[in-house]
Amino acid sequence: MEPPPEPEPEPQSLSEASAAAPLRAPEVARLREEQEKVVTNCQEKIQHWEKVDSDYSALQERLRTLPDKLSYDVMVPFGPLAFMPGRLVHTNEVTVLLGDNWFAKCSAKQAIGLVEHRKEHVRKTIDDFKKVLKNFESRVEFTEDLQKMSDAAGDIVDIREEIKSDFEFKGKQRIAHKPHSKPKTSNIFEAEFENEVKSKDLLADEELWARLEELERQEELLGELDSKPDTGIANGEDTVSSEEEKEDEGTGLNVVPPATDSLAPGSCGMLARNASSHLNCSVNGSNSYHSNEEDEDDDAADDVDDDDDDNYNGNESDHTISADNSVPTIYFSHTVEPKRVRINTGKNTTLKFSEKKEEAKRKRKSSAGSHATHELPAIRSPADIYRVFVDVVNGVYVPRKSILKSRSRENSVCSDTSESSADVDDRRAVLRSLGREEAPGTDVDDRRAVLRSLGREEAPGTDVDDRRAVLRSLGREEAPGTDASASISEEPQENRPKKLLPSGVSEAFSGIVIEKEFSSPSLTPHSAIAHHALPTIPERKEVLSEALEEPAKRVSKFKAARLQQRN
Amino acid sequence: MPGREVRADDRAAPVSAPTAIAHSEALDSKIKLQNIIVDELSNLKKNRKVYRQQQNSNIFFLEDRTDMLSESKNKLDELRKEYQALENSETTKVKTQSP
Repeated sequence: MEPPPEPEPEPQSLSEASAAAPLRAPEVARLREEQEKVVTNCQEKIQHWEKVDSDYSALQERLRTLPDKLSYDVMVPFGPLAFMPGRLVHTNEVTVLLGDNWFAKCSAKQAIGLVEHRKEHVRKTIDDFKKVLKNFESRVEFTEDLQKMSDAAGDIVDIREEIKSDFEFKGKQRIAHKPHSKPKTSNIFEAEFENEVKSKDLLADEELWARLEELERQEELLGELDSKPDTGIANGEDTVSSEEEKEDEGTGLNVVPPATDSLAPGSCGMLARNASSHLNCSVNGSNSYHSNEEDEDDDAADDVDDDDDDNYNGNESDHTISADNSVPTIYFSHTVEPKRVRINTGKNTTLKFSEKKEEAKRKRKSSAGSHATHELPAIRSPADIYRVFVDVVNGVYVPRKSILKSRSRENSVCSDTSESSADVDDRRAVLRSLGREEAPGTDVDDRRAVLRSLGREEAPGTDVDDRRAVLRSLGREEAPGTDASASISEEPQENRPKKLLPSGVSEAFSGIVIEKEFSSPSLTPHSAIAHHALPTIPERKEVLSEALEEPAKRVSKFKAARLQQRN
Repeated sequence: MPGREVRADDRAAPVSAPTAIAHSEALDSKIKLQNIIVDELSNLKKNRKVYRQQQNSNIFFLEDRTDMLSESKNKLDELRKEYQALENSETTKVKTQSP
């Protein structure tokens, strides 16, 4: 284990921290000042406009009573300082300024109407100013809180995302996953590390992180051996390969202690890179975690607060120095996800079609009769779909733009060019899947219905979701009662993932491609397939199951549909 | 001098009182002003003319003295009441906060 190089990087880290600290007091103070300026400005304006409003009201009052008398005794001003007693006559004739030196002669009542109209305008202006005032008052409040927090080096964490100019979303080349590459398990470890992590929890976390680092390192090495693009992908789920190689952002990892000191800087850099998409932890007082250059990692690592219990440096040194006026920062990097095409299935359900082809090919290739489960690509996330649907063009893996379109491409891993229409394939796929299944009798009707509907197969886009949801629900719940007429577009597909469901359940419509609801027992058989580098670590399983449960919450739309089906 | 004219401004200046303290201060000054007005009006001879200024302009309309006096007195009373109410609410706040 390397002794943490504290003393030397300290001065560097301080400057580093101060340079990198996002919430420096003078800047926050200035922000607050500016906001308060706006607030006072707004108040003044409001005051002015309210005076105008009251003037108009007084004028209206005067105009109302003006025609009551034929003439009034007044003090007539001439000049700014002199007055002369006089009489106001023609009390009903009022000349109104319309603007731009245009006047209108009207009666007192008409003048009242005009004044009312102007008052309306004034009121609107006042309202706008009041809104702005309110808005800025709340902003001031927030800035105040922020200031307090940053002074106290409290629990809040600043999350920053630095946008790289060449990291544009537009025209970003999609990276083809290596076909049947393993899904990114590292993403699963976006565990919910709260801001206040207790020390004992941290110990467990630390071990986990240590493991994770090692394994990710291994994976990366492995990935690097394979291909360059793959590395980026293999590393962290949402990384863009070339960018990620030298990624600038790292996330603050709460981890660990001396145990991690043993990690080489390179691995730390990798770790930070890998963890880039993780919004992990918060480190009290720790801040900017740059995995920019690896030497920076050390410094960044040292930025973390020494004093707090919760501070553990993910990278290297265990103690860290609190940077003044800085707040724990998580550097978040937004990574490009491959475009997720909505599976608006119609006739071109290349999805299942391709999978079938793929399986068939695999079967053909591998002489040994493979286990049914092995045939099915373990699709657990939308990203996995893209893993499956990768075309090989001239030996290069190219991501398919749309997994819906059936293409007659040669060398396509997924699509079989020999088949002409998707329909035929669908049907065949369905039949195959049906044949393959251990279908309980209750589902026979469904299957028949499936075939029937396949024959009809028109899928207006609007119904697709419902049908899909239905299918899903079918798959999920073993509900024969559900709509037999539900189209089968995804049915064969669903077969496969369904097999991942609790082993005791065997149904005609297996699972779902898209949703991520999986119970833990089903994970185990597939983890072997899916995760080559991260197989059977008990901790991981727990985390996996935890993490995988989370996405379920997100999928409320489908759940709702399913619930509807149930009801 | 035939008639001394007193011009009464309409005290209609709006008060933006973001805080209670500022509000009470503004009320305080208003009350002082009104006091002066009432004193002056009550101190006028009977033959004096009282003019009221039209808001935001330089024109003065002749008004009845007695009417003006009563009006001013009413206004003063109102202001005083408001001030009292404000004071009471503040003291109650303080009382609730202190223990």
